[in-house]
Amino acid sequence: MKPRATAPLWAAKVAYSTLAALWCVLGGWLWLAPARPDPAALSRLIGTGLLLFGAVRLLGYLARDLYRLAFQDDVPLGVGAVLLGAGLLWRPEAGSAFLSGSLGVFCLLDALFKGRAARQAGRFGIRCWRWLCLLAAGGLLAALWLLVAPWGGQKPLGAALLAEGLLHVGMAAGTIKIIRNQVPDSRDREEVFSCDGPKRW
Amino acid sequence: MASFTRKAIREAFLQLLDERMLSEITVKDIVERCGINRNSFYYHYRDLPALIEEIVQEEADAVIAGHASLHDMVDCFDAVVSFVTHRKRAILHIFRSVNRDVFERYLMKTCRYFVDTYLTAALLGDPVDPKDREAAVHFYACTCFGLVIDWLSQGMPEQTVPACRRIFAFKAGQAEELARQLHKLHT
Repeated sequence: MKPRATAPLWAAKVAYSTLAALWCVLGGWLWLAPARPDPAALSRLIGTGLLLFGAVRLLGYLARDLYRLAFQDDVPLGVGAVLLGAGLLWRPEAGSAFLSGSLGVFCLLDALFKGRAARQAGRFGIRCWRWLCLLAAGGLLAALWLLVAPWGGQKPLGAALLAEGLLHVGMAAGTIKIIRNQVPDSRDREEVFSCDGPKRW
Repeated sequence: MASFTRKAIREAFLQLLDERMLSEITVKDIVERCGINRNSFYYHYRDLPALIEEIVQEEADAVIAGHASLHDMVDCFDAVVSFVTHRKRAILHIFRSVNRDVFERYLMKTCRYFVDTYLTAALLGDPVDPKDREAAVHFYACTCFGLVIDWLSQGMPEQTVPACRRIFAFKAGQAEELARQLHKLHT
């Protein structure tokens, strides 16, 4: 049987890792920047980032890597990121007013889902699952800070973006596996939808 | 008939079990070895102990199917030994793990089946109280079970099997003697 092509998986992993790293850079820059940038420009920048990141996460979900951990919740989160990013790009001036709140909620949900994926990674046999839990906890705290203190300036925003970026870098490094001999999913589907029927999902 | 995915998972697991201890094997190792994704593994098996149980059960059933008739207790013991030695390293790794209770359960099941098969043939026509018969099956099954467990505990040295066969050879004719005793008790 011919194994799956690995090119789409590599594309998804590289794009995901790159955008997560850029998220860290943006978050770090906001944390360290002396002056607050123009709110509309910041909305456009974050909106673009969210749009791209959301698209990459959907691509990652469709790529179907071996572990199915990093992207398993990325249909709702990817669509959410795309919509949030599109909203920020469409109305950057108005978007800056709800940027902290909406991004805070998004980062909070992301951290919760990734925390669950980290625990599943532990059960599965990935050794660095505790680090992933720690990163998810950091993401959760940063998101909460952004939600409860949006008036705190750019530091909560920077912290949330940095934590989000680190979490995704960790997930990419620890939970996305590409092998040459991965069995095509079509073979799995034949059995899942056979006359025995699915047992549980 | 096992599906392609189940076969691939089982084969990969047995290969890993030949290489390392059970405690060192994770679901991650299995999916990497066979190329089946994580979701497919959990679709077919709840966890690793469920996979172990299915494998041990199928091995026991295969050995039972291959021994339809047994002539004496030596035959019983040889049949049980064949169950254990079919995948010697894998069985030893399961035996030395926290999941050995699964293996012991099916080993006892196998011992009981073989002893029951033998005694059914040996006591054919003799009126025996079912409770007495059950007690006899239990006694001989435990004898078989205990000898095999002791052999496994020592790491399955080859010289032990002939020694155990000698023990059963000493006790040849015991089924007939048992039938006489049970008949005496019954009357």
